Amino acid sequence: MKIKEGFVLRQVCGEWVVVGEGLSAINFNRLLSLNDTAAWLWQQAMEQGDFTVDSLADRLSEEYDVTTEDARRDVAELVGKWQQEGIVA
Amino acid sequence: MDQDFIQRHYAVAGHTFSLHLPAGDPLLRQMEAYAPFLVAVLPSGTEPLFSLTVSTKPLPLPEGSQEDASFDVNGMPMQCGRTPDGYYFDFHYGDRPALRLLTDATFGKAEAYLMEGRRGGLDTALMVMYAVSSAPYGTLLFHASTVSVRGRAYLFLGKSGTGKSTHSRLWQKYIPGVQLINDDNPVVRMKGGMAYVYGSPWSGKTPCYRNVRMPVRAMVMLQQSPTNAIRRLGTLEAYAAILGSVSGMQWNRRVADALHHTEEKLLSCVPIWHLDCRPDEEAARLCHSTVTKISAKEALEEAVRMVGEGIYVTIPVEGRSMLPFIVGGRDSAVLMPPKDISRGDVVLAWVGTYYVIHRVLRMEGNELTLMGDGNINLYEHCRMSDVRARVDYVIDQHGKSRNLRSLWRRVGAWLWVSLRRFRPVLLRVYRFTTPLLLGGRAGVVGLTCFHI
Repeated sequence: MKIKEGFVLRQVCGEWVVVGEGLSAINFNRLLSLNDTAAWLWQQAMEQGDFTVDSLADRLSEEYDVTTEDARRDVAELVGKWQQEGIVA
Repeated sequence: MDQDFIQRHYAVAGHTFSLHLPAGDPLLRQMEAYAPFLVAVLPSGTEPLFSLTVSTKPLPLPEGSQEDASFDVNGMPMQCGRTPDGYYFDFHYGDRPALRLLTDATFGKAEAYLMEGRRGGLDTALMVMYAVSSAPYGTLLFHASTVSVRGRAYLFLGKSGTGKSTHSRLWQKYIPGVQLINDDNPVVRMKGGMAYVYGSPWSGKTPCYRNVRMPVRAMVMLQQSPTNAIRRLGTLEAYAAILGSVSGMQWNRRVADALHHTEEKLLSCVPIWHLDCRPDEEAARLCHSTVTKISAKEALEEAVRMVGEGIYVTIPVEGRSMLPFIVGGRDSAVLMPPKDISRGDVVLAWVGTYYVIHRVLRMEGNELTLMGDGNINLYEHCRMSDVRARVDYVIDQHGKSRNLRSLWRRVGAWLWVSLRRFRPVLLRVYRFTTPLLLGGRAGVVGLTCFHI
């Protein structure tokens, strides 16, 4: 899957938010607040372009001291929320 | 320039732009709103931020143009897209075309063709150009009603029809000294860590076109409600309130990045509030009494800023680190611009994480060592650039002033400094006796040194 065009990760006074800035996201009238790990995963997803829960979970367990299972569970939950909000497809 | 065009220059919030109108165009007689912003000539060597030409002929879209999106701006359909060398915008009134705007890719040069509602279309064209071309210069075109009271400005934000103008009118009616700055589209600029609001030629239905500038003290997001209540917004809620109130072309990454940069700076220095309100006196009074309050830290920063502008500012002093020469809780210090600082002077300085009002003990080039007269072994170090004010006078609770620089006080101070070894004893005596001298106001002498 991919992060939809028009969504931008921004830092506001130390906090991470995803904003719908592009034309395709112009009617996304809300802000999503992300913690540091979620923001890091967002950046990884942007870098990978076409990503999966597994590809992100692999990066997460490489970078942080978590088991593959824990990483998979956390990433699946986060990506599930992104899907609910309609910012990935 | 073509002879058949009349050229005019305007300066709004310090940004100049040029407007070229066809000679004989009836719009030339409908520009009262712009008159306060007229500048006779551009300062030599400067370029206007942008120039807009009102075309006498329809502007067909160049070959190769493509629509990016179509949306609704306050009930008016709008299309925007790209041309081979820039962007285009089409606005409508109902189903009738009102304005076509063509701009180059850098937003420096634009052409507009006005159809239905030409005067309103001209405002729209200029506002679009102004918002996008000023974005890289720490400038935000707001949708807000703005008032001032006692030299500070307050912006009321909210969707159209929320009652921003009504709330401004309630402030004007019930709070003395309130003036309207702009009722619809003021400009906010960040300068030196401070936010300033400026009047503009765009003020909605209220003819209030004032060419003024005022520091912004607070912004308030309004929401209609059966009861009045106010709360301070957290970072993200505040960010959301600002995002919805700033004009721009947020789908253009360069413009969006610039706006974000300015918005973040704005959030770090201006408190944003949320007011649930009825259109009544109580709402205005609640809002006014809450958002005009200022914390000690903000007051000090404000004072430092004013001193930076050459103004003398008197502030109350807390703590006992400058005993016996300044008594915290009783005296006020007169802050003056920090010129010709020398050893023995009392200064207000930033010492890394807080401000102190202490005496200069040593000066080595740009490096200063400060010490409170009442401190025993506590020094601060700072650079000359950290000195924000010089304190020559203090004023006591009876309004009597004392000169800290007068000869005998300086001698006294030096005696004091040279007696350092014995100071603990002297201090003990002084601290014991001062409350008695002050008529039993022992509780007033604070326990911490002056910092915020």
